[in-house]
Amino acid sequence: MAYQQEYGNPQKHRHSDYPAQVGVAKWKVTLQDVYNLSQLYKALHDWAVENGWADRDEREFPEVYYFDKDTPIGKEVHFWWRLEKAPENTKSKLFRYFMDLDFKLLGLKDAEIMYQGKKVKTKRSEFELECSGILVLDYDKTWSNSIFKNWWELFYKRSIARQFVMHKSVVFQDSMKFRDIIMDHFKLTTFMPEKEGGEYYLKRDFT
Amino acid sequence: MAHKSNTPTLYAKHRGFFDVEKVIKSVQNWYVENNFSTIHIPKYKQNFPKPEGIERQVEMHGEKKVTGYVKMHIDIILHFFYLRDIELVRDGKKVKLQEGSVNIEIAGVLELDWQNRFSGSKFLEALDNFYRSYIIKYKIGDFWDDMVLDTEIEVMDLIKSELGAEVV
Repeated sequence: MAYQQEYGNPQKHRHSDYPAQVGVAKWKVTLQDVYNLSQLYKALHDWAVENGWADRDEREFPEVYYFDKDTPIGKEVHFWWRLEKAPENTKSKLFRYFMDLDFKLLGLKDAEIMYQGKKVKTKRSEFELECSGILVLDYDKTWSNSIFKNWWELFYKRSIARQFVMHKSVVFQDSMKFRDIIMDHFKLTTFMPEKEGGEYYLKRDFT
Repeated sequence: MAHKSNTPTLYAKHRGFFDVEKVIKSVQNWYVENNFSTIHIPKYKQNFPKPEGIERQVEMHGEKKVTGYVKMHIDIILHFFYLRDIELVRDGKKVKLQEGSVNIEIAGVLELDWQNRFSGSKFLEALDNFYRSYIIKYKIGDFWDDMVLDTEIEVMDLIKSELGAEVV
């Protein structure tokens, strides 16, 4: 086999530069159904903005990747959101929340259905969303650049253990609330005991 | 170094009338009420509705710290087939349920040294090996393995009672 010389920019995960990160939530939803895509997209976008995961300025919204292809069975659309949030009510930069969302739509086609005696135009496709909720520790690298870097693990596992657990639960709950918007839209089983935003986000009523 | 061992997987099948949402919700709540520190839902899949019914698959994974050395993993897979909405009359009241079939699979894993305290050198790994093979050998086989299996049986009984199946 030919020898492959090392090149200057090896591939690595975008979080690998941080001293430590903890995977908190990981879920995947794959649904084949008829639904209102624009309504669902706006609901998810608005939730991210209102809950501090994305900027209100459209130019700063973290949709980092978009791919679109026409196939015989319909359109194939991929787009990625890389949401990021600083913990609330604290100036400390020890913790940072990340939520990586990979959307995939397969066989996207226009569809017309009869709903409550009226013809309604919708979309029909396989809707897949994969989410990773990550808590990054020592975000500003204060500890890893100091003389106490060997004591970092002891610090966050013992001294600020409760805060660590609290931040993990915040990332987990926000991730599940995001999932519940989708599950509520498709009228499926949600995870959190309360409905996210009450009845504000419209369900798949095709109106 | 973390050491994982699988406990027997439990399987069950049921066909009849049940509330799908209630079954899935009860399993999710069971994880939360039993203090599982990590809960993942790695798969929730639903196929296009077909004339014979809807197919839905849900996978859930939970991790619970038993001690600083022992961790329990419980994976639950629910696979619903031929689901159709129906209305039944029970005790004089109309109840909305679903009719269909469900396959249930519950798998457990016992993880030892999940914090990797005995990793980093050959001496520590040898020490861990000795600890597992001689000192706590019978505690693993008689207590912790049985604890995971009991937990699997408990959640299987919960799912069966929600489905309306016979629970012994």
